Amino acid sequence: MEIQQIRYFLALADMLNFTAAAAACNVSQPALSRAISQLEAELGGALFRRERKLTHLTDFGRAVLPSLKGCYDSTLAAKELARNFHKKGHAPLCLALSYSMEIGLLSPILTELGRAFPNIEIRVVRGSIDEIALRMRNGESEVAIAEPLSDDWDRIDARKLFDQEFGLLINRSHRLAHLNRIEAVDLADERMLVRPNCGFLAALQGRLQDLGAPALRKHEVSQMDDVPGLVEANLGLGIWPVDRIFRADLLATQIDDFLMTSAIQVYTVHGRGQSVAARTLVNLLRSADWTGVLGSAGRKVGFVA
Amino acid sequence: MSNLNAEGIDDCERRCLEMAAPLAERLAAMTEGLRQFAPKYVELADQMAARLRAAGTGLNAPKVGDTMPPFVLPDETGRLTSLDELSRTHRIIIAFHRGHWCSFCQINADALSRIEGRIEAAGGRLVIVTPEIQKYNRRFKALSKLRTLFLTDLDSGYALSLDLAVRTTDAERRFMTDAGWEFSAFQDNQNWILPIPATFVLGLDGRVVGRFVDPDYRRRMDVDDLLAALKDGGDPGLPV
Repeated sequence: MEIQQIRYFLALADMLNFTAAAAACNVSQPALSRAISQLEAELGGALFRRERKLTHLTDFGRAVLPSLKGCYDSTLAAKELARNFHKKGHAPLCLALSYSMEIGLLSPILTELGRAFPNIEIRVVRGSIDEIALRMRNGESEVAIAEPLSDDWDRIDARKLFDQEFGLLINRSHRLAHLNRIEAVDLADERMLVRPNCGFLAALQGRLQDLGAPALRKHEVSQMDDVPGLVEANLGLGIWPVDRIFRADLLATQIDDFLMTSAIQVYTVHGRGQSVAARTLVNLLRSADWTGVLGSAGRKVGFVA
Repeated sequence: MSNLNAEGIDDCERRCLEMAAPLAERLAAMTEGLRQFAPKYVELADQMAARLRAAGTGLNAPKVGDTMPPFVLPDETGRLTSLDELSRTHRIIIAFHRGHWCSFCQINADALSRIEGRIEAAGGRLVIVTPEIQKYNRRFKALSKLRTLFLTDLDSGYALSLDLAVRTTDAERRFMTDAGWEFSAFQDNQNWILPIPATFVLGLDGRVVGRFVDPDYRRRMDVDDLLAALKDGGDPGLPV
């Protein structure tokens, strides 16, 4: 496929009019028609149904449109990155992260971003998934990394990076800290330290109810970072990302028969021109090997010395 | 898939990977093995090559004498690597591969690993470019025994700019899915776009001094041609 053929295809798919598409692409109409025919021959199917006055995308044309658009956009982005690599231009980037996203996981990628754009100016904003959805809608953040957003706005483009695993954060003097393995039933009557609207708590309650065990009680904590301090004060058990660095005097462990995982996704907004830095960040996130993150899935107990 | 003998294919692939023979012979042996164990695959490959040849795919790829367009792509460890930086110290060979799953790419990469020392001795440096994300490029690198960088051309953006990107047909996709290849995971997209596995040998000035572009993915640049282009291509000394 030639880049020009795809450019003409995208223009025609948008305008559904050969004359207008040719004008928009600054080529003659026969040249545009020829290019579309060549592309159809290479793809092995008709992209458009040509009627006297009307032009329509065929089912095949509709089916290939997203992939050709994706490839075309990535070509433009690749050229822009090659042009701007190591250049000193100002590059502001606002990145929104959910509370549970461990920023340490991003440091190799942010290192590359800093190398690529020496004058990058990053603003990192933490928020709940609702706050992040709002920031994306309002255009306050170009890129977000978070669990699935509550907002189902169709302009949000989400791509999964990895599954974040959660476990319990326990004070070492707690009775559960002395068990070799912890099952859901062991949590009966315990008090949990949870963030508002915690989905894991609701699911865990359901499980205990099924087991006929007494319900969990809770403390509510809006800031993730406050959880370890409250666990230390023996106020309850935290629900905590197992990969996040935590304090040596606390113990993080999984519930044997109740795995808590959440997809971590990267979000951008369709149709909003992305800066080269934002696009590069998303591509680095998508290409990255997250196996190390997922590799912790077999781990039952974690200590930090 | 009824007319596919996976064990037979695996055996054939292993045999071709171990074979001490010129690359073209090893690739031909793989095709013959597939003809026996997965005849439908060979039929599809023939159709694809004929379709792309008729459409002139790859005709606009950089030619000898052209300057290779710049790229900045992440390697298999996530480090961004630019052609400009690579070209400062070495004559670069860029080898586009379809991915770790492709038997022909594995054989090609193995043939390149057997001459990697000679490439380096001649002041050259090879880079492999695939549309696959780091996890799969790492796997491919381990399989190939190559020391060099495996770069991710995400969504085939660079390949498209060189007229090397092709989209697979429904029949090809069905076959690949039946074979158990999860392209959406390999490439982190649903595009079903692959590069033509072309090879470019660059001089120190970044111009193409040798190339091989063929829409039939079962044909690859002969390693002796590659070494010859590398030796002929410009001044053997490094720039001051």
